[in-house]
Amino acid sequence: MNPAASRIIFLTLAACALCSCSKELDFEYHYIPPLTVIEGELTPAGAKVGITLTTPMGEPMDRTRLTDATVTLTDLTTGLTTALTPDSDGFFRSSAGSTAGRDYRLSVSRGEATYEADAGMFSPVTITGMEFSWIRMPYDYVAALRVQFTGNPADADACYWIKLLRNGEIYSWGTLDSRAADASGTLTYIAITSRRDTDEEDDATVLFEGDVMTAEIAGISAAMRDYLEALANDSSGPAMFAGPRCLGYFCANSPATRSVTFHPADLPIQE
Amino acid sequence: MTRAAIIRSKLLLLCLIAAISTAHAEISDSLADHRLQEVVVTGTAARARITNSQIGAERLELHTLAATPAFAGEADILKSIALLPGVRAEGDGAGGFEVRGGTAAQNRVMLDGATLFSPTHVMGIFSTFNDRAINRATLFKGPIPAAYGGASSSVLETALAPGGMERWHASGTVGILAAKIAADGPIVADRLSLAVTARRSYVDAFLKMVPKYRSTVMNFYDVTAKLRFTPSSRHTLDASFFISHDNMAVGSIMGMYWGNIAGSVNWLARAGNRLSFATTAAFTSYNPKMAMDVMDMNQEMKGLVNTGSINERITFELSDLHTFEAGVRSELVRVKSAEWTVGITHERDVRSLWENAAWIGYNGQMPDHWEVAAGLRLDVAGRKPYVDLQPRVSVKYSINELHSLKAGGGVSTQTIHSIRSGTTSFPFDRYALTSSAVRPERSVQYATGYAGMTSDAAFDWSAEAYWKTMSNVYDYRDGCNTFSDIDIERIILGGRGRSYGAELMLRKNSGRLTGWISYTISRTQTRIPGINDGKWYDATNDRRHDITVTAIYSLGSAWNLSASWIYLSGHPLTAPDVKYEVSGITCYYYSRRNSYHTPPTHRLDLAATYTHTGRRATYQWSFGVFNAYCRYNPYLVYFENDPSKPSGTRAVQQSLYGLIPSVSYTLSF
Repeated sequence: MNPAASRIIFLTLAACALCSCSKELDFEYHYIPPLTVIEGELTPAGAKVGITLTTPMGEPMDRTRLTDATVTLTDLTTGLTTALTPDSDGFFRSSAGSTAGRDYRLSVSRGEATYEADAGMFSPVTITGMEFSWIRMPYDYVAALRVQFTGNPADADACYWIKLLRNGEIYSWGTLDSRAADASGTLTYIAITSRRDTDEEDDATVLFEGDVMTAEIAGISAAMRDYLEALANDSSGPAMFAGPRCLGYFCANSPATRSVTFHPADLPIQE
Repeated sequence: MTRAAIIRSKLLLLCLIAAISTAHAEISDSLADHRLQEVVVTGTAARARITNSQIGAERLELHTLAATPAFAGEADILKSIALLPGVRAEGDGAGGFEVRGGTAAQNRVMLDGATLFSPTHVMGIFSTFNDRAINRATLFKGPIPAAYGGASSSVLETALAPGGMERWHASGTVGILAAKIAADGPIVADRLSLAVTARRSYVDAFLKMVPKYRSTVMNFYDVTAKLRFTPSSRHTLDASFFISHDNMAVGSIMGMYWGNIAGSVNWLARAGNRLSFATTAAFTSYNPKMAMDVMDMNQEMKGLVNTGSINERITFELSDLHTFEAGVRSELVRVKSAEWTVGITHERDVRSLWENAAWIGYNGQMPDHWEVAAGLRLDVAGRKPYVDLQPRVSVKYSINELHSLKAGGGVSTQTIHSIRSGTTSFPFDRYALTSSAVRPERSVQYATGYAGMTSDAAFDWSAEAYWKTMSNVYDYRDGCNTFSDIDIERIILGGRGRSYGAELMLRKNSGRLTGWISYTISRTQTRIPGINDGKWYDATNDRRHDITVTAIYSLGSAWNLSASWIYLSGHPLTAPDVKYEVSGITCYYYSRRNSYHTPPTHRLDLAATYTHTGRRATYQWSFGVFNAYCRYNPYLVYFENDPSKPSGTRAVQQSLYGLIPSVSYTLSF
């Protein structure tokens, strides 16, 4: 290549800094009437159900719990039904324990609408390992968090819901199924977390020295996995409740937890 | 990997490309010695547009399209045809084109009789067509002639240029992104010739200069070769070969690889003056692959489309006014929709299909200014089997030598379904083959139009309107994505589509200033039970208004200037209406599919070429500016939490390209 061509190419490269950008859009959202959202979780320690309404996109998230409902939990194996009562935070609760291997039905009546969903209770998993590592991405190093666990052999069809909490606050969640197991039956979940260059990082994802990351893992049904995956795919999720249209889920599980502290200077590097 | 992750990875790679590479311009076949031809060809082309009885057929003037500005200066057939009415590019960062409400996956792109799948480099920024290799391209966007099948929207038929039979020619082009060479000439004078082209990107070289990107692999190449043997004036035998491949990877952590290998043998034989036979045997292999190895967790995802076909086409010219055609085709298709290896788990979904077709066609002139192109195609596919009779007719009425009216209609089917994971096509889209659960996609199109020109062919114009219905159009079930299930038939739903619109075109063919203005107004809708409550909704590729203005100005024997401006209405967008929380994470509720629109897209591109023709060699400098007024057009719109806003939520538009200059140098001899 002759010198003139080199100069032209160099100048062109330099002029190319004006590529790729993001900007906020002024968006006019459509109005739809608010929908009921039910979050029902049953663990060996008891049941907790939160009922809220959807929030218009242009307004701050409304987390006000609705308590004008009748909530019951039925053990489909024994036929025993328990009424849940609201606590001071607006959650309907019951301290009645639950047993792995049994099926349960959550019933929520509000006004003229009744919503029902069933869930099977899975055994707890065993978390065997949890560690951070830097991995090389094109733009920077990012901290990958690996969580390894084993499921209960009795729950061969179980899928898994992995919630990550940063200093006790929800950070992200994801799902796995048995396809992620190795020959020994160990399942591995990897989450991409924070960049090394924290100045470039979004506040929502950045991790700092000393932050405690907790993994909370529970076996869930394939239907629950599909629901969570659909949410991650920009879908409203399949309807988990029978009855009029409502959002949310009912999940029976036995979560296991483990924590690790983030020390960026001490992490191994994978190139 | 979720759909969001796919989009993010695609965006990341495209942004990377855009940020670290820059444009370069490469020349077309419009070197100085071709310029005289151009005047002749355009005049001929204008008349051809008036006299062609096939409605919706565009014989592409490659030298003219190549003179128009192109992204990063890379002359690109697939990008350039988006300047024609009724055709548009999928969008920034996508390589496909969409015709009359169809998606890119509903087009069949053929090279010397071989079908190419996802013929794009760098996730769609460039097509795999090296402009130096192609000498002929025809786009059938209206009723497709009976000789072509396997596409419910359009057929783009291209041919590699054969080598010269008298002397050798060669050229080389150096740009910022890639370099290419071409050579052609006789092996045995007047009997055997060879044409070869090769292109290779060298983004890697620049990446290695930046420590941050040193471990990033990003390259592509393509090679074409055509051997022509002419044993006598009645026989021509062509052997064509094509390979393209892309490698994008980050060290040993993750990588994406895809490419086509295709080959064909075409034997054209004439028996007497009125009978000819065209025999084609072709194969294609398309191999996309993704791999990841993070913290000892290995994942590999592969796909595969293999096709092998044999095609016989017999043409009989009864007289100068009447031509009959008949043909048969047999094609074996093998599709590996997916093959996943996650840890020790290995799954795959492989299907095969044998498809046979026979057709007859007639093209002739009738008394009283009438001309007819009619055909009937019979497709038989699968073991079940699916039998589909597809009539295709075009009728032209010549008002006089300068004005004609046209009308036509046709049915066409497609047995290979490409299921898009996003709003545009992607090299890793999964393919579903027609089976007992998946029916062939079928479209019925009616079109009518008018074409006219001035007596000196300096101007010509046209107007066409169309109505198209599509059935067995497939998409992912709500909430599913590419990786939801290995069995693709469990995660897709079939439905119907419809599209209607009008296309207007005005061309100026002579003088220093040439060019065209085109305008398309159209609407495309889809209805799939299980999506949007089973109601009709605007298809993702619906664009209400599409305007292009293209101008090419000759500043004497050395300099040529060109400009193109495009405007596209915003495309439909599925956006949330309300939000809520699930386990502390903000989730969105989408009440209707595609009920919002993105902002419109518009852009001005400029190019200038300087050509010096010497005794032995010609060299050319090409300069370009893509997106001259730096309009940030929508590539992706997403919604995210933003604590700084009163609502706590914001809508964000991601754009790929700002202003991109380009330059290249070509030497030909």
